Amino acid sequence: MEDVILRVRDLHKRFDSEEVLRGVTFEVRKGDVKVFIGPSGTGKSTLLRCLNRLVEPDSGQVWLGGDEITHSSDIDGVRRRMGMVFQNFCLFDHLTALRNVEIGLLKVLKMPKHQARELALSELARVGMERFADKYPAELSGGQAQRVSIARSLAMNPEVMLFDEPTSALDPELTGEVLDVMKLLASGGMTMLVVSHEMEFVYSVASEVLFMERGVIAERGTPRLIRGGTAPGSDGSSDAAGSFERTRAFLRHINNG
Amino acid sequence: MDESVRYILDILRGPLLQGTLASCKLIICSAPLGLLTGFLVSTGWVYGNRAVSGLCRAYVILIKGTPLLILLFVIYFCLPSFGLMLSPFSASVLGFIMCSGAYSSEYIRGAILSVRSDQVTAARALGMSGMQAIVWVVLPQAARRALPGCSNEMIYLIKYSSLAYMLSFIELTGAGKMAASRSFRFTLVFSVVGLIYLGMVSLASLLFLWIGKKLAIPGFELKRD
Repeated sequence: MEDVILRVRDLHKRFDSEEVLRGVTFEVRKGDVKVFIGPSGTGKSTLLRCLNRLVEPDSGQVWLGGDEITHSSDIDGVRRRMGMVFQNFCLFDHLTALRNVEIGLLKVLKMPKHQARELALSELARVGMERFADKYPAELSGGQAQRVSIARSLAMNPEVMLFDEPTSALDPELTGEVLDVMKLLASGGMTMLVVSHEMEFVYSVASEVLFMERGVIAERGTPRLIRGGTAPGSDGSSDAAGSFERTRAFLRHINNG
Repeated sequence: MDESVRYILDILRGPLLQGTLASCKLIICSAPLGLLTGFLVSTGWVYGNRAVSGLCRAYVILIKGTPLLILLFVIYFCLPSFGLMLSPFSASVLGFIMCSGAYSSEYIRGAILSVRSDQVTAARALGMSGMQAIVWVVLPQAARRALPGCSNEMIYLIKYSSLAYMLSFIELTGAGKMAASRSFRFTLVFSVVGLIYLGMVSLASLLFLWIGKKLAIPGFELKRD
């Protein structure tokens, strides 16, 4: 299928005695929004980090476009094709919002200065942060910082965006502004892999929800299927989808927590 | 009293002015190269391979563990037997560079290690190489954190530059000592010499304060107006 952007096959990762990923396989098509949920420690963040090899997987393969990237020697070249947004924003503390967005364009893409500035400003505008272009990270709220970090990744014009719990470090009243930006991206056709437990967001934009448990994708399906109503399997989805018992148990658990 | 004032003005215009200029020459030649050495040694220690890192570590331990005066004597009296003859001035400058380099490297190394690792992770995720992440993210942050420590080291340098006198290079302390020996007015002369050092240190402090202000950024522990 030529519209498959990302293909992941049998990914394994072990930290010391703990096998965090125990064979993860999935495919992402252009414009998909795949959301990973599941208890903490089940390898969701590790999975995202294995995709751009911030963490090296022990075995398994990842293809981005047509390229097998798990053994690519040009990992920097691979990473600039995948944007990543972190739980703790990870903005560069010594640079203004504008310079944070600019620096990848200047140093990695070697873009001319005026062009980088223009693009950085328009990316900041896209996340509603153009008024804060000259502010330093220490002067921004968590929600503002996270929007700048999204702009920083977007500016690189990635083929796919990885979001690693983008709102879990935020105060509840600040999550909305970040989720709004992400919804905007999703509706604009951006291919996204998201680790998040913001179920309202998940239900409104996810094309598929993947429930991870102990290093594997235990259950997966569309938000509609998971929310219930339709009997599992009736839309021809794979058997792996099962009855969503564990997914639903997990969701009940986090809602009560 | 009148006579004392005239005497002070005399030596200020004569030997003490010469001495102060000589001290400034020592400091201005040593300070930038000392900082550069500190930078190279600290980055070598943190980022170098096992051999480079070990070498830098040994250098710092050696210099920190021996009195500066001994280092100066070694450079001045022992190197000639290996065919390297240095003037008192060059020997002093070399010793000062080695000493301030070792101490500055400790401040810079601490500053490099204090940069949060997620800053590098974010840089790598953008597609920067390891080297680019160090140059564009780690070092600019580390420089700001190392500044207070390195400023202190430069101020120490102003004061230990007086040790050049022990290699017979006549700088401020030496000039004072010679003037005092001629007039026997030790208290008076050394008080004046002390005040000149105080003036130089104050000027240097102001300079570093100004640099600190220029580099200040919210979120880094430097003052900003």
